[in-house]
Amino acid sequence: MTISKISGIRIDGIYGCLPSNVIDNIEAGKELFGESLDNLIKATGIVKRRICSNGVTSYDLCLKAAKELIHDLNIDNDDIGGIINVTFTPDNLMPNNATHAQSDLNLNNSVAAFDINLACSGYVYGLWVAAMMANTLNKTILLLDGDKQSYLTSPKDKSTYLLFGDAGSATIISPDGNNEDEFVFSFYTDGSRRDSLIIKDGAARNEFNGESLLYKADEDGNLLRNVDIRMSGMDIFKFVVQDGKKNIIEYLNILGKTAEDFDYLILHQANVYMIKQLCKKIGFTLDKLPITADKYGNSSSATIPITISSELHEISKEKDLKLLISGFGGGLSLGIGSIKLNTNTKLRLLDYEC
Amino acid sequence: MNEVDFLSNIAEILEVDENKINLDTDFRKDVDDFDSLKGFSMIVFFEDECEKIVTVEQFLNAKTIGDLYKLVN
Repeated sequence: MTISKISGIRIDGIYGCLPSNVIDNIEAGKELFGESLDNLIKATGIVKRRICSNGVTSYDLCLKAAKELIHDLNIDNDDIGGIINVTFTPDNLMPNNATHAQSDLNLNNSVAAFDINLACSGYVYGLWVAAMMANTLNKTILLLDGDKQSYLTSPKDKSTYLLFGDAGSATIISPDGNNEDEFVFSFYTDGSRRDSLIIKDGAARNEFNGESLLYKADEDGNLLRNVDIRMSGMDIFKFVVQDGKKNIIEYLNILGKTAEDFDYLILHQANVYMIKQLCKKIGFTLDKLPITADKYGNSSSATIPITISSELHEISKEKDLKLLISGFGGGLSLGIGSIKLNTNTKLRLLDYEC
Repeated sequence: MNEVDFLSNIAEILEVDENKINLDTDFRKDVDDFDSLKGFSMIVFFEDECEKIVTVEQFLNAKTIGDLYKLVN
């Protein structure tokens, strides 16, 4: 297991941003699922989701979060040395979102700006890279993380339609030589299982073609297009509760830590049942596992900053919080991190009218 | 794995009290809110804790919790 320890940095703030458009699964799933709808909503625990409308993208959500966070932290634009945008649904294939943010936020031309293409494990990677950059640039780093999955989700696919939503977020990390808190990261990758969660068409390997938009039945009878997110639920479930469990336990053992050492466990909000199972399997009690999938859906890697900003903004004002975070999914890819928020860390969840 | 431990694990997966189920329970009909995620969870439990690979087809053919118990013993 690879372990990366980083100190001398701090998290100044994490703002989540959700589109205001609410999808109620009880209404949205009526036609597709009929009688089985109730059971399915109970199974995944996802009752409502947020999705973008009127051409809004995850970049718009991230930008709003960034503007508010930079304003609330009173950061001078010249202090920001880097912008990272974690997303697999950028506004354009080229140029990337991060360079766009440089101009939209009036940041210095000398910033390092790039995107990271990752799905559900992405926020952990984003924090890791941002922390290393803050250390070497000795400047504040802006991490944007968001995805718009709604336009790549088939309304006729039972394995994805009731799950996926859209979200954005902004996180600011600064160098802080006096801070001895260690942020510890670890990763696990199994590319041999990449077909378990994949968008087949629309990039260089399978160029967008005349058939890409046709709804075709998969082996379970779901109808989806080759440009839609295609997921094998069983494969992902196994990855999370087997590989996820094994790696998180190994990580805790290497660090010599247990559930007692953390205030909260923040898991990627894939679905409620699965993350409760994972939580129990790694020795945490459910009272340490904040849940937001029920009300906001699974928005890929942004569920971690969304859950932190939504559920911890009150308690974080009262005491420092030690968090164990983990994201898992497309790749297949897993990220694990331990991070600390202090009472000055700003947390807020915003709405984007659309 | 003995019967008591097996039932206790299945109850945990199904999120029901242990005294609500036994080997004769038809888990798809008699247990509230049975769904595919709980099915996945059982298959993983057989593999990890009972060290027995149960295929999706075998799982779909099992009707009662006793049928599952037979598969892993």
